[in-house]
Amino acid sequence: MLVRLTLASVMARKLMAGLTVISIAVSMFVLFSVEHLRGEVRQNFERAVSGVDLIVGARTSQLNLLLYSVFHVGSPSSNISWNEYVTLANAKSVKWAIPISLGDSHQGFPVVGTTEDYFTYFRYGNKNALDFALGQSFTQPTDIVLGATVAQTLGYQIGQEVVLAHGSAKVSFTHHKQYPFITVGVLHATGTPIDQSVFVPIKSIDGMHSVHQTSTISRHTSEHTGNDTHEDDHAQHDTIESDLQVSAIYLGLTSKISTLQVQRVINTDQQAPMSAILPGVALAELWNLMKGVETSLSLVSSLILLAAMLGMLTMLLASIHERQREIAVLRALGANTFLIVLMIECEAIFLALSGCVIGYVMTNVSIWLLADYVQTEYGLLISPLGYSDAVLEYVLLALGLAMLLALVPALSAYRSALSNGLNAK
Amino acid sequence: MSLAIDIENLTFTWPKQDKPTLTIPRWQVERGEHVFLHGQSGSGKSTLLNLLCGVLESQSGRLCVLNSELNQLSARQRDNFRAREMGVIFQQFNLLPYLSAEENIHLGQWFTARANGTNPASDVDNDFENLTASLGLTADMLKRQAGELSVGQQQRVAVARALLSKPALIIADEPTSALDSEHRDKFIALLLAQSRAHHATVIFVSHDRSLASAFTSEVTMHKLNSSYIEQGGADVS
Repeated sequence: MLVRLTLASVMARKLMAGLTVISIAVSMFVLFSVEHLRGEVRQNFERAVSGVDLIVGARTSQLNLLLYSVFHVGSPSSNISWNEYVTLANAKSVKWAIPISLGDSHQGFPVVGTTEDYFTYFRYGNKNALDFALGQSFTQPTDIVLGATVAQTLGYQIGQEVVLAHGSAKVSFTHHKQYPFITVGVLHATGTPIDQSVFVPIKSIDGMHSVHQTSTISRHTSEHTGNDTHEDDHAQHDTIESDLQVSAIYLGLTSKISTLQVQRVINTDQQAPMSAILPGVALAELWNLMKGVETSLSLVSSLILLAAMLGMLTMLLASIHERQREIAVLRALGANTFLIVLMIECEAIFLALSGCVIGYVMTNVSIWLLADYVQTEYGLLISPLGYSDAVLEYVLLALGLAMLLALVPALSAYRSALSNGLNAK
Repeated sequence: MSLAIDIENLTFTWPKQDKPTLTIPRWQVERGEHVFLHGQSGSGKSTLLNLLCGVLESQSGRLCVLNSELNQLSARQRDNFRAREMGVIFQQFNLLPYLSAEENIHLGQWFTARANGTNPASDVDNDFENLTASLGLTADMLKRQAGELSVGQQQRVAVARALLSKPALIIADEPTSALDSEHRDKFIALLLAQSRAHHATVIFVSHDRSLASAFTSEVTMHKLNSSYIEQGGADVS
């Protein structure tokens, strides 16, 4: 009866109650979205690499190495020589070693020079292996493998001829036109930077640059720059394998226990100034940088919720004034003051709960609508908002806040029920 | 015959006032009586009704309604007492406008049953039909939202609600002031006939003395309330 009474009373004040519910729903939507996005971004970050024990690069900071080797953000300050890669790959404790060479791009997508081992050993997410949606790994020096987003955005099929550009900008003056590649494989979507990458055999990267150097025709492939700035970048290249440059190496070790030991050996090597980092530790450090942003986002969304709740408080207080008669009728029928308080609390809970439910639905509808766009545009994989402790916590927070704030109008109704008696003003 | 109302040396002072609004040396109403209580506004009649209903609590004196000492009951006990034993009819706005007329009547029963700690009695359906029929309430009217009914219809629904739980005491506070004279006389006749059929005592408050003839006794606030006399409001009639 109490519930029926509350609902009927709320329905009689549809407009105000509706607006209140909408404002709570919007704030819950913001709260849910921010919280969910935060979790998803973090997961996307952490998905980027797994199953790699160490990442090795030229001596630099942990964050820089992680950023360029995994996220293709920024660039290596210097490279490692191929000989050092071979030495590491042959070390007893090393099970596998994937060399990575960065610096070129195609239509703004970074090009990763690597070996077939990349597709065999690299793991992302929950130790997921890479697999091919179409085609296969490279076998010829001119073969190229595309990440899912690259293939989708550019509409490339197997057999598509691809010309790479020097540098990472979308518009590059230098195109390696003399060295076209043929698409032989497309990877499944992973929700990691791999989707936005183009993979070529590492030896071809060097070959490609060498072509520029050795062929006289290639000197003027850069259409707008008459003189050859390109020369400086690749002055020392030739096709000898030992002169290959490696930006970073992913290492898999035979024994996980030796990881720290191997790391120390690499870091303290006097001959080759290299850094070895633990991907997990580096990811955690990277995530720590976001802490401030995270906290302020949470704070802002909590404040939005508080504002919506204050709106509800105002609405309830205003309605108490209008409802003096209603309260007098109920009192005359024998309702005690506690029941009046309960009714207002019930109403607040009903409004807040409706707001939460609508906010939850709104969040999932927008995820459903925007997930594809966000994935192609930002490479973020966003799963629908399911049930989680965080969701429950926010709902409980909203309900608790609603109940607490509703005490104000409830007590005001209680007082007026006591002092006005049955005389409705 | 036992008394419906028995008052002795009752005083009530509103908070933040130094003089009592209401002082009643003695007032007795027998069960089954239909009392016409005449009083101008400001004569303390609303205060008296709130005291009788148990919504307000007096500071001193004896206030005995239907053999219960209201001063000795807790606020919650008085609320339950009101739900069980009393029917209250206001000037207007007796009903919750967002419920149907029928639901309004059932709401009264729900409160009574709740106070008794029982489920609404099963023979109530029969009573409900008899009562609404005798008050001229059609099924169509009962299904409509209370807010859509005319004031006269609303007042009849209020009577049906007040009587359905068979209260021993009916308190009507100016229930006819929003009605025109034709409807007013009909309403009073209906109310009193139904109350007589249910053996209910009626306290009917109005400022319009011309209505008094239908009642078994008449009392005026300025005779009852000695505070009112002291304040100089007595020389009206």
